[in-house]
Amino acid sequence: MKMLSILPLLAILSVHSIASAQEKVPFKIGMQADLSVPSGVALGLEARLPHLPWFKLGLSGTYTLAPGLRGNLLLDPINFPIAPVTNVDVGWQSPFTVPGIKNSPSSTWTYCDLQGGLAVGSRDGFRFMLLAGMSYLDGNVSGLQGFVNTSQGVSFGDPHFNGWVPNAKMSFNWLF
Amino acid sequence: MNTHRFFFLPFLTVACVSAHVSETVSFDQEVFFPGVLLPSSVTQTVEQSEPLDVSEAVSKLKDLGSPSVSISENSLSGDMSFVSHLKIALENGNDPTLTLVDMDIAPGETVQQFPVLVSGDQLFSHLASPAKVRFWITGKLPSAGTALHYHLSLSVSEQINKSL
Repeated sequence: MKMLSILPLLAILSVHSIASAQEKVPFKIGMQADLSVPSGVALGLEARLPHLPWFKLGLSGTYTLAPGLRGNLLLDPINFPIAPVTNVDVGWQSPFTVPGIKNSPSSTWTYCDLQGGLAVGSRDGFRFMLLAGMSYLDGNVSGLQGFVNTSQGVSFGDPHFNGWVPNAKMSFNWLF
Repeated sequence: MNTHRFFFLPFLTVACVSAHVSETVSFDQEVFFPGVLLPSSVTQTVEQSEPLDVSEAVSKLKDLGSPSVSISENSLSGDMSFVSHLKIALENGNDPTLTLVDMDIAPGETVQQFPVLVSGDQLFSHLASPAKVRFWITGKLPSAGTALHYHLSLSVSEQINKSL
């Protein structure tokens, strides 16, 4: 019964703390740079929305063997110098060929990274993060015709692929 | 099991590539049957063959996993008004000849889709070596010869699972 009587008080306190947090957290913008598989090198902007200190939205240009584009949502719930974080990326890799391979087919894909990891530094300033997880890739390969020797009259469609691969990311984030 | 192995087991389980690949391989070939010397009123059989070599592609696919193959189209088009019977077979020099089609043709047809007598996987297995598609047409054939267009389309799908 005592517990039940405390519940309304707890509810009032939590609403109050959320309201206070909402007042104290302004919109912030920053930069992010990372090195990852499958995105390659990425450089972009990140934004912390007002009232949501633990959510950061990002948009980056990426480059592996060709440019790409990636958006992300970072969940950074604990305001502490070392904290667990999770991240979701959605990206697109523009078509690329593999250098050094004669008549290399080209490949393009879209992907979604699901990652978890550890962040070090200030949540409102500089964060260094190590993340790992799995990526879902969906794409196709084109130009197989010149890559594989066949007899006359044989043609290949563009193979389509989808599946899961492991990912890893080393990331630097600054909020100004 | 050691404690540290047990700890790393979940990471090892997820550290693998699991992908599905689908692909279409087509074979389009104009098959020319030379003219016959006998009068066109006599029913005769002529034979022709065309090379079909996808052995390198088959080898690459087998390196990745175990592909599954289905035959999505197997057709012959052109003037077949004089053809009464058709046989198509695949030979690769190593395995027994694989008969794909052996059937009577309805008079007046120009395009025919043929049900294939073998499975896609049997066909794919034969294509591991350079092969020849052999055609036999029977009928009251024209003395000038005739050309027919053969189309074979395979749908290949493959599940790839690799541990890292």
